Amino acid sequence: MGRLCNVVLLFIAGIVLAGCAAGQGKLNPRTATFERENFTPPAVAEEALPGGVKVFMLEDHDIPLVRLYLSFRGGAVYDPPGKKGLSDVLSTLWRTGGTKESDPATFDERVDALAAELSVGLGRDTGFASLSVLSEELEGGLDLMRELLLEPRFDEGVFEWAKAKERAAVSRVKDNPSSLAFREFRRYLYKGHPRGVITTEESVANVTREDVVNLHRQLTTESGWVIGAVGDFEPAALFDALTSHFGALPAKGGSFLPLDAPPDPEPVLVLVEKETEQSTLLWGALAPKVESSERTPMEVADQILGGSGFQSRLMREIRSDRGLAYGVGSFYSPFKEFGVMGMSGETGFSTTREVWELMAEEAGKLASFGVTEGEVELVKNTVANSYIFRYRDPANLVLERMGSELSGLPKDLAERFMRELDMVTVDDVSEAAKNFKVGEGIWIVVGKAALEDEPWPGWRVERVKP
Amino acid sequence: MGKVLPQRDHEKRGLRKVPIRYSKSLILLFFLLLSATCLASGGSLEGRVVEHTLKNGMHLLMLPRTGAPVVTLQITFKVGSVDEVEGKTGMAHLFEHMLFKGTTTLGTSDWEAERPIIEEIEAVGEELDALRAAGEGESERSRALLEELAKLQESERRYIVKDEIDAIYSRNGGTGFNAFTTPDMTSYIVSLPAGRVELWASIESARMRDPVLREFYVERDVVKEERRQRREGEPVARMMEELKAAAFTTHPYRNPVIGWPGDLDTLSVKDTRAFYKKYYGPDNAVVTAVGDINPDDFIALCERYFGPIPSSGFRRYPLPSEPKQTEARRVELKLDAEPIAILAYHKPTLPHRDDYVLDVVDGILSYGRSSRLVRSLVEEKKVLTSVSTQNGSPGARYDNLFLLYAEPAPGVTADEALKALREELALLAAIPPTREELERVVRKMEADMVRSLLSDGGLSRRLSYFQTVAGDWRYAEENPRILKTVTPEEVSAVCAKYFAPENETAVLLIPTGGEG
Repeated sequence: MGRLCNVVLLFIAGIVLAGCAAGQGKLNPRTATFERENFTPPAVAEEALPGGVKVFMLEDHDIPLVRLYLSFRGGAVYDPPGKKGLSDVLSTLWRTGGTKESDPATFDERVDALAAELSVGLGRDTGFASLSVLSEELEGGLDLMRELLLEPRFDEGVFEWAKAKERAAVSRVKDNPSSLAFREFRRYLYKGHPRGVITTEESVANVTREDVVNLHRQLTTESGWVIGAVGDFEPAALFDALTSHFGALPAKGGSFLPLDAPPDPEPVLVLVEKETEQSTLLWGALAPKVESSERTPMEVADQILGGSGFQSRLMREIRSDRGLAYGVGSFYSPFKEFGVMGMSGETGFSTTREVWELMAEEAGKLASFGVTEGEVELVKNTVANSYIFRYRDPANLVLERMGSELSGLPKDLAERFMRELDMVTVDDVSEAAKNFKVGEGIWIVVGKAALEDEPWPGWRVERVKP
Repeated sequence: MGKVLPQRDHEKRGLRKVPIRYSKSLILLFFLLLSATCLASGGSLEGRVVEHTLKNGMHLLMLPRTGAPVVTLQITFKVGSVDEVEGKTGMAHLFEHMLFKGTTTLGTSDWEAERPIIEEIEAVGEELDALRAAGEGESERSRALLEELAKLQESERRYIVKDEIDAIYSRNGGTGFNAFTTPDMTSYIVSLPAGRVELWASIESARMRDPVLREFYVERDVVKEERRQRREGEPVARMMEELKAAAFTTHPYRNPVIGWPGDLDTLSVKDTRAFYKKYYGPDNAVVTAVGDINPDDFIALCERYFGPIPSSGFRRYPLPSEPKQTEARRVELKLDAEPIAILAYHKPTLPHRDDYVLDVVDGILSYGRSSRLVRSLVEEKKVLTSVSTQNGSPGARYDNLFLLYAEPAPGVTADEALKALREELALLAAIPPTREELERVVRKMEADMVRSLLSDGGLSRRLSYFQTVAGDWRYAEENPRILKTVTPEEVSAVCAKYFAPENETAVLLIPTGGEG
């Protein structure tokens, strides 16, 4: 009995010691495995104002702050022909022009007195207004937002200033090679479509104050609106306040309806002449839209080609192995009606052709030979394990819901993507990767390299002087 | 404040750029307000940040927060471009790049086989650099060496596991894996799901202990590409380089973080290794962890992984001060671009009383739409389309500059923009601001402090910043008390003292073909 006891004690001691040793051992980063984090995200409450405008609310009392968002349909793609820049002029004027109650200086002083942040502006397809205010000042902040959105003052003097500011912004685009490249990219990718119309100093000059007033009226009476709020508020009280302040806004006004998808562009290589030693290279084409069955495998293919930084093929071939570029990568942006994919990179004048060829070669290999099991697994793990970060700022959940609502997309788009990602196979991704047909897209080359006369084999070339 | 001034940190990763900028005054006020906010919600900052120093000198700052189970981790070394010696500028930033290349256990399939090849690469590379420096870069010997280097790099490639650290973090859900180098410091950041913090400790302790300078010459070329991309991408990057070189005649704040082109060509493996050994000891490092962490567990983890790394015993010596400027300086840059004007004035750094006053001046001039420069020059006189200011450039470990940046409206020259800026400065120097103006600025700064609480990354960077630059993150806690003592008269007196013609450096972008 005594001997047995000793054996048992020694055995137990051995387990304990082994446990300690394991506890003190160091992890091998190559082989370490971990449980995936379990986290139940907070639920976003969905309501509708009496007029139908959807409101998404998420209480979060961690910080004494309220963030309010209002999003609406409308933007630069709806600017009338010859007046491209109208929505940009309105964007500048709307926030800086004051309100019926307060001239611009007084209005800004009222905003600053509450230490609030208030913004409103239009993008390409949608507009966005936001208020960030300490919760103790929420009431005053809501009043300012209502005044700004519904009762702006568009005085002639400020209007002329806003136009001058927009013209200056247009002329400064040429100073930044990347902005210049993307401007020309849009012009050629969407040729013959409202998305391809570029703002010029002349088109801004054509905008009248009456245009601005009309556009504002249309946006606030004929567009579609959606509201989101996150932070330190009491939901019922906020809902009542939103009803009284923004109840008159339209939920679905009938104007600014989604545009048709742009037509496939004619392949072309565009040389944008600019005296700079740095060459900016950009390729792109239309791609599967967000609800396409190819969307998820396209996301994975893009990550493998150039969307995942150092783990991507472009980065490895062009930067890590050859030192030819600092930044090079790919992108895929799926929208409701269409999608866009592309590659971009910067390099020196003397290595322009080499990088151009390498980019085309990598996209070509992806399209022709597909992807590997290891590449797909890496993307799956990366996305699945980092998904938890989506919840770090609860505003992300509200903004996602607002975006889906305004675009007419399913509200569980993000969850659906994660489920599809889990199921996606090497064959799915390799099939989707065939979309990367470099020969059928648009190339943009900005820099001194674009000034040369040498041919670009296989491409019809057009020259642009910015 | 200073919201758009393009003071760039130099980051490792070209594709996931995180614009990080330290406006000291904003950061100070942030902490001031953070403290007030937390007190209001039942706890002071003092009670929330847990601090611990390992025996080897590595300093830990931990800020547990509720919410999603994630944590942001950052290691900051008190070494930046200001610590570089003449002729070797760009070293801090290049080494930051090299730390992503792996260790003796990560980034290689067989270190013992790879090591002799790396040694050969170093020998060939050094001889090649020496020939280039002697003007013999095109000689037969140079060409032979280039070929040999290419062969060696090819054979090393057999053993390289490309970007393995990045791959490990990525597949484990790491986000924001990045680094940046400033004149004052170098910092390495990643955010991870909370259950994987040990992965960070394992990788980062290996990077601190056993970094390998693999693919050195390829990466040096990448840095040259980065330099060109930044300079050519925005004219203002070139202007800032000119500005610092003109404003500082001897102090190393005159050098660009990314290095001068001639220096980049000759930075050697040997120099880089010596730089690492000097500055990358645990006693020169601050670790911050913000998010879902248990401080006791985190301390134990750091003891286990970083504890065995010996201190470097490094001692820092003071740098000579920049000689007092005695006359106005002016640089004109002629480019095919729209005009820009930048003004700079020398001033003391923290904790000098005038530095606090200039934080307030910064706010009065350009913080918010009702600030003086925005209201007067952009919206009323319409001579500018954009304006901003910044107190404390390019760093804060040594006396620095107060900057004003202006984009003239169409038809307005850079010189006219300068004149308008100087008039506003003269006005503030002559007539003290009202009490209400001061209060509005402070109130606005306070609200922004609260907003800053939304970001774990922002909190981590700020804790690291003050611990590194001021030697104690609590420095910021004193700030509200001091700022509230700044008087209108003091504001004017400080403006008169520093915004003087003989203390000014102006850089103008003059459009080619135009009069600017």
